[in-house]
Order: sequence, then structure tokens, then C-alpha cells
Amino acid sequence: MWTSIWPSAEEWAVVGLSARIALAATAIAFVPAVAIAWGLARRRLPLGFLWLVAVNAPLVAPPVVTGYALLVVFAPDAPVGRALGAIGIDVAFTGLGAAVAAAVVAFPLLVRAAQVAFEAVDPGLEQAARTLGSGPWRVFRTVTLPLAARGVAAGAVLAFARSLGEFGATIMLAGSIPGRTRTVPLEVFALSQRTGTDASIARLIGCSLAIALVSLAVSEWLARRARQAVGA
Amino acid sequence: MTGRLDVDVSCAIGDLQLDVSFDEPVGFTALFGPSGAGKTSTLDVIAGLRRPSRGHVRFDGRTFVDTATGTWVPPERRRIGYVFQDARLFPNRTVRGNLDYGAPRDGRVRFDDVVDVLGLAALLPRAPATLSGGERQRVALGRALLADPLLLLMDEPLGAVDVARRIATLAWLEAVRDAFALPIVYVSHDLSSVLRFTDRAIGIDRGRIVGTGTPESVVGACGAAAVGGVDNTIRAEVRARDTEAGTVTAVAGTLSLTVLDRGEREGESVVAVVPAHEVMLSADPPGRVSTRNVQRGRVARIAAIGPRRLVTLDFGGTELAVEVVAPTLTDLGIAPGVELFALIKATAVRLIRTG
Repeated sequence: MWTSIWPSAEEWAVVGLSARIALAATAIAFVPAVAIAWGLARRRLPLGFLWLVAVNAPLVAPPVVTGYALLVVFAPDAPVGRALGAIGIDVAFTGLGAAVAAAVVAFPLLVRAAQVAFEAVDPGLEQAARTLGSGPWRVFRTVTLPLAARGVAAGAVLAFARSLGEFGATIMLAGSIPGRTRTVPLEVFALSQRTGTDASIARLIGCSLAIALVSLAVSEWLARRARQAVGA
Repeated sequence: MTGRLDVDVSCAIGDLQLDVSFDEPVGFTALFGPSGAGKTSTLDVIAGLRRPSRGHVRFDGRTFVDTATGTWVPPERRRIGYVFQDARLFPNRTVRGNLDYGAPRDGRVRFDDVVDVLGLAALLPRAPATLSGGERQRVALGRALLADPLLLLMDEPLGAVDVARRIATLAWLEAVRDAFALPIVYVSHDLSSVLRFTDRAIGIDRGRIVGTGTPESVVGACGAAAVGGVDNTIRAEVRARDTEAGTVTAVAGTLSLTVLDRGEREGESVVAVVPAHEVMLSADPPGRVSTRNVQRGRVARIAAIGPRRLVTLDFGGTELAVEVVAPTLTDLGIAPGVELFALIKATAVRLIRTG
């Protein structure tokens, strides 16, 4: 009974790969998402509305379409893909590609959470910091980001959870290569094509649900603390 | 310590068109005017938090902004301290963290001196959210001082505090003025503090300067716009207590005030708050009147506030301002040097312990 509930070594490897790719995706998305969120919150981006639409497009576009668009950009024979390949970076059909696909799909979640967090920071505090001798970058590092930190972290955890479940864009850009790009959702899909895999599928689904729900709980907890921090 | 502040700017802020122009020495200068006159906006322009659409701001020969030459010095390089009306303490830092935030390593202002003068020692480990309005103002003032500014701007430092705290806050302001020798521009619509604490004033109304000079003359020039009462705040000592009558007598100079006993002890230091409009004047010794306090003083000066006249009497070094209407001056022959009787009701005076 115990052995049928506890995942096998192969299944753990798939879960581990998924977690690594989701972490990489969150890391890739983090800096640009935070920068854009700040720009949107403080109305510092020219053509702000277009940014808003572009950033949020992956939220409403079918992931397969997002993946196809990424493939058009990063395919080895496309200009961007060829340029990156020339310096030794292969995106299409690699683990990096899986991370890029997940990063793009999770991007809007991170931007939206961070934007709300930045908007909650009183610009008056930033002005006060300026009069105390801090330039714009130091103000961001010492006032804005620390006050928005919990909200930004909540967004990052949410993006991580979303990356774990990414399927459509991943399979388009990175394929489903066992041990390299075959994350939990792709493995579940592959297993479902065969018979006698129900127990394995159940264990994988259990793992991914557990990680996703814990992430969501952490995200919500952080978001709540974030509101308290700014309200204080 | 003074510096020359040369401001000539225009900018539109919502419905208000700000066209402010003055070139004044700054010691302890009040920027005085009614709510919505553009006082805070003027401070924002001086501090560099708002860009004027036209004009310049110079302080002691340094140009901070000049639209004619395209000069722009960002706020962090102006060395102008700014104490905001809402304090704006960083909520995620302790009081000590707030004080340290802008302090340069080699600043002229020492941490211990600021903590000492403003009485902040007990507050250092606390979070801003746990402070009272007056305490927040003091921390904000200390934080601005520690950033080692060359000019200090204060926006309504008395706005968020009640009358009792106001007296204490004014004492802190006096201490800061004397201890740190900084030019200070002090924004207020509070007549009493402007008249009592500042040596010069700039009057502003509806986005324009209406007068510069002594506080009395500026307050006069503000005319009807200068609404609000004047409270005398007189440092006094409790000398006698009459438990039978339920009164205590506080003395300052030759002025002695018998007021309701609220548990003050003999020898205690207090501040007596006397609203200027609660005092009557009499040219002759009054007969039998209900007023407990009838005191003889000499007219030191007379200031106009629109149709109102503020007659300041001297009682052996203690001053008491009395508000009357203009015809009273001629009817009673009031002029500087004339002796008058001030009639002050016991119930009109409030004593605040300063311990």
C-alpha cells in the first residue's frame, strides 16, 4: 500500500525536473516583470496601455498560441534563434526552452501582483526619501521594493505555481523530451496514452497538486501580510 | 543663521495657478496663508518635488532650477530638509531606522544631539505606527535634521496635534531653531505661532504672494484671508492655590492670572493659553465686574488683520495679544505706550502643565 502511494524514483525525477524548470521560469520572469510592474504602477512607461495589453496577452491567449509564437522567434532557423545559437544558447527543444515558455505564460501573474504591490506604496514616502538624499534607484531599493516586497514575493510564488502546470506553450517550444523537458503535466499526458499507468498518474497529480496548493497558500499569506505592512 | 531664498516660479496645480515670486532672507520665516493658497505647492517647488513650468529657485547663490537655462538639480542633491505635514515616516523601519535613513557619515549634525534636543531616546526602538501625531512630527523633524540640510522646510508642523501638544511641539521647534542654527521656512495658517515664533513672514493667497516682511505686517496684508483666532501662549508659574474658591493663580512678569484649579501644584511650570478674542480692554479702571483678572499693561504694538486689530500689551516682559475691531482703537485712544486694563475671565484661560 505504502509503495503505491509514495512516488517512484523515476516519478520523483519528473517532479524534480518540473520544480527546477518552474524555478528557472520564475527567475527569468522576475526582473523584467518587476521593472514593468513598477513602470505601470508609477505611470513611467510610454504607451503604458500597449504594455498592459502585451504583458497580459499570455493570460488570455491559448498557451499553444503563445508557444507557437515563441517557436517562431526561437526556432534554430529563425533570426533570434540563430543569433542565440551562435553564442551557444539553444532555446527550442531544451530545458531552457521549457523555462522560457513557462516564464512567458506566468509573466502576467507576476506583473499584476507586483503592480498592485507597488501601487499600494505611498509615493509620498518616495518623495520623503528623495529629500533625504536618495536618488531614484536608491529610493527604489530602500523604500519602494522593501515596502512592496511581500506583494512581489506573493506574485513570484504564484508565477512558480503557474509554471509548474504549464503544458501547451512548453510542448510547442520545448517538446516532450524525457529527462529534459518532460515536466509533470507532459508526463501525465504521455502516461495517459498508455494502459496500466493509473497509479503513476495519480501519484504525479498528487505531487503537483500538493506543490501548487502549498504555493497558493504561501502566496495568499504573503499578499495578506503585504497589505498589513503598507497599511501600518 | 540666514540665507537668501530667491523664488520666481509659475506652475498649474489642478485648479490653482501658482505664480509665486519673492526674494527674501530666510531666518525663521513663516509662509503664511489660508488653506488652498499654495503654501505646500510652494514648498514642493523649492524642495524639487514639483517642477515649475517657468521660473527659477535659488538659495544662497545656488540655482536649483531655472527654466531659462534648463538648470535642474534633483531633490536629493539640494540639501533641503522637508518635514511633511503627514510626517511620512517609513513604516517598515523603527524610529532609529528612520533617523538613520538620510544621515551622511560625516554630517555636521550629530545623532546624539538630535535625539537629545527632540527627546527621542525613548522612542528609538519603536515602530512609527505606535507613535502619536506629535511624536511622529518630532521624529520626522529629527530625520530631516540628520540629513544635514542647509535649509529646512516645515509644512504645518502643528497641523496634526491638539492644543496641549501644540505647546510642546512649539517648544521643540524653538529648541531646534536655537540648537542647529538653520534657516527655516515654516508653513502655517496658524496666526499665533506665526506671530510668536517667526522673525519674517511671506503671505500667500490664491497662488500669489500678498506681502513679505515682519509677521505683523504680512498677517495684516493677508486681510480677510487670514481667518482663525490668535491664542496667547504664556509661560507662567503657579504661585498660589485657593482651595476654597477652587482657583489657582499663575504669574508671568507682572501678569497674574487667576484661573480654575485643575490640580496644578504651587511652583509648577505651566503654559497659559489665552484666546486673544476672550480678553476685554478698558481705558479706565473698571468698577465692579465679574471678571476675576483685571491687569494693567502697556501697549507695545498694534497689528492689523483685515478689519481686526491685534493690540499687544506688555506686562513686565510678558506679552498678551488682545483682539479688537478697528474703531475701538480711536474710541479708547489706544496707541503704543498707552496704559490699559485687560479684563480676562478665569474660565477663558487654560493652563497646560509643562512640568
